[in-house]
Amino acid sequence: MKVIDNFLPQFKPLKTLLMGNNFPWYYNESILPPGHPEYKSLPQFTHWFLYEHGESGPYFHYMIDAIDLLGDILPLRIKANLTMTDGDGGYHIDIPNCTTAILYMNTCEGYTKFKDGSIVESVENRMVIFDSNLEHSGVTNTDGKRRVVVNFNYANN
Amino acid sequence: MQIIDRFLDPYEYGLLRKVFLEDHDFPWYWRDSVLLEGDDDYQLLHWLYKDGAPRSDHFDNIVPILDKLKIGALCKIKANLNPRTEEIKEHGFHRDQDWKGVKTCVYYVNDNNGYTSFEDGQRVQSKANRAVIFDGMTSHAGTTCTDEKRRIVININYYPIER
Repeated sequence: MKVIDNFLPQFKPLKTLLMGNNFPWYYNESILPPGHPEYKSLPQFTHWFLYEHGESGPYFHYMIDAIDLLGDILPLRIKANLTMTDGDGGYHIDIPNCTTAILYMNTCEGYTKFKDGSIVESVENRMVIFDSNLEHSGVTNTDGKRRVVVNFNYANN
Repeated sequence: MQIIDRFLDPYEYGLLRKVFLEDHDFPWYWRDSVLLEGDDDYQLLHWLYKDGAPRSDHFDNIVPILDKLKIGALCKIKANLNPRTEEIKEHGFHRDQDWKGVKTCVYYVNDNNGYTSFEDGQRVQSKANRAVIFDGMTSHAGTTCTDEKRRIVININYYPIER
């Protein structure tokens, strides 16, 4: 696992977009799908920059800098998650046998936890990169109004 | 104040419910406050009509509501989504408009234990497919809910045909 602080040299435009008033968020009844062993009835809002079937969303270009910094990669899925003060999303993997990276958009008391007990705090412009087979769970914040992250799943070329 | 249950017929309500509650491709926009900048609240909203024109691809979905309101002119329409909170939180009294003759209609999209409260102590519970219509100069307050994941209402401000 690798944690990189100040990941994006130009973080402000992305932060302004995702934390601003004009960015569309889509409601999801739960973080994990019904039937998942860790399913919890916790809602979240999401925004897809890149769908698994390869279609990109209207704001995909905002992801280019981060993709470039991740190296020679093939992005498989990129989405933003917005959670509110509601708890622990439950352990899961996003996509097996690739790499997962999480870019934290705001500093809050929320964090990402892993089954081995390690924790990565939500710090603005921090990126954590790990083997996608590592089960992880997002824990929402209690000190603010929202926790916003961007999740990347990609193959290394 | 007028409270109308079963405001839309079941078919129309079913279509509206699908868009606002079931399809999950309805965009919501974060607001870091509800009434005043810097307040301790938040909500997500979606403008449907503002500054004299529809502001949403989903405007057509609310036309059945507008058809029933006998509208002379629209002022503004927005949908609010308040995520569940541990305790019901009242957002503070306010008027949507300060223009004489304007009516406010709050249309409740889903059942939940949130409500609209008025300064005279009246409360209108959030009940799916209920509309409450009142003078736009009447101060009112919305709330969050605790028994559902979200409370969704559509606020319509308009001049009625007959004043």
